[in-house]
Amino acid sequence: MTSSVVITGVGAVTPLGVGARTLHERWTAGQSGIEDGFGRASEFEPKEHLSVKEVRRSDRYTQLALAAAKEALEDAGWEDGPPGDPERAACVIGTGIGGIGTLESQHIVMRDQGAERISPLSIPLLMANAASGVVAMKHDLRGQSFGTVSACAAGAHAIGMSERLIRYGDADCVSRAAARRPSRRWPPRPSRAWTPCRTRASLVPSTAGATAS
Amino acid sequence: MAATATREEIEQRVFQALEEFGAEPDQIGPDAEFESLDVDSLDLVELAQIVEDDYGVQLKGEDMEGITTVRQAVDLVMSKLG
Repeated sequence: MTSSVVITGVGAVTPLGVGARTLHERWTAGQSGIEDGFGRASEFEPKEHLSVKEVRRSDRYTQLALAAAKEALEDAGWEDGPPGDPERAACVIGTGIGGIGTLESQHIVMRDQGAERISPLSIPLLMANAASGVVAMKHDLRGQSFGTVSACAAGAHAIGMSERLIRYGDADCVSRAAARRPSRRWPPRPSRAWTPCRTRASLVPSTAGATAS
Repeated sequence: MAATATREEIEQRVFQALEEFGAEPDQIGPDAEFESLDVDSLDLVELAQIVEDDYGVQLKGEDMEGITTVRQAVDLVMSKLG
């Protein structure tokens, strides 16, 4: 418990737009990313940030995480891989559910066409550690890779776990993020109490924030 | 029940699927190897599903073993069509 932990890069894809700076600017300007009750992150177009294969091989929640992680890692200067030994570079990404879009769509396939028609990509896309695995593979983070799944606290847990990995000497650097895909109506009922300051990453669907340390 | 289709039609459908999988269009051709197109085993399972949907041809996992080129895949579908 002696290592200092510092954040060296940040990234974000949220209903307020793409980019951590955009998030900060619009947030502090009092803007809301909620559209008709939905937090869609509608400015995020996956094909503008990911390859065709990456788009096909990832649920939207993972796509959000990939874009946010890329920004954070570039911000940290990790364009060419992690600093130091990749085996000691970890990746921790929190999520409320994981690839719920894939789960829903493939459930419909199973119901209407049978289990044999379920896409072979289903598990790699829907599992709650999909984002951490994909981000780790893309950026050569070969240390511990896992997801924290604890509803609205998932992002905070990812940050906490990342800090501990470094403090306890299990990793030298960590990419961590929170990613959520669902774009359900939010809040469930219109609320006059809704303000931009409540659009923190751990509450808003269709959000990904990432940091590198 | 297997549908009827020409070799050219099947080849074009396979080309289209490979492009959807993310392969570079200018590298797709009958002699292209799946590995060089960055097409892996999961893609091939999806390709088998597409072929089944479009032509009624059932391809099992073992049918796809040893298939490494586009031409071999088209040959396999043609043989199943009879």
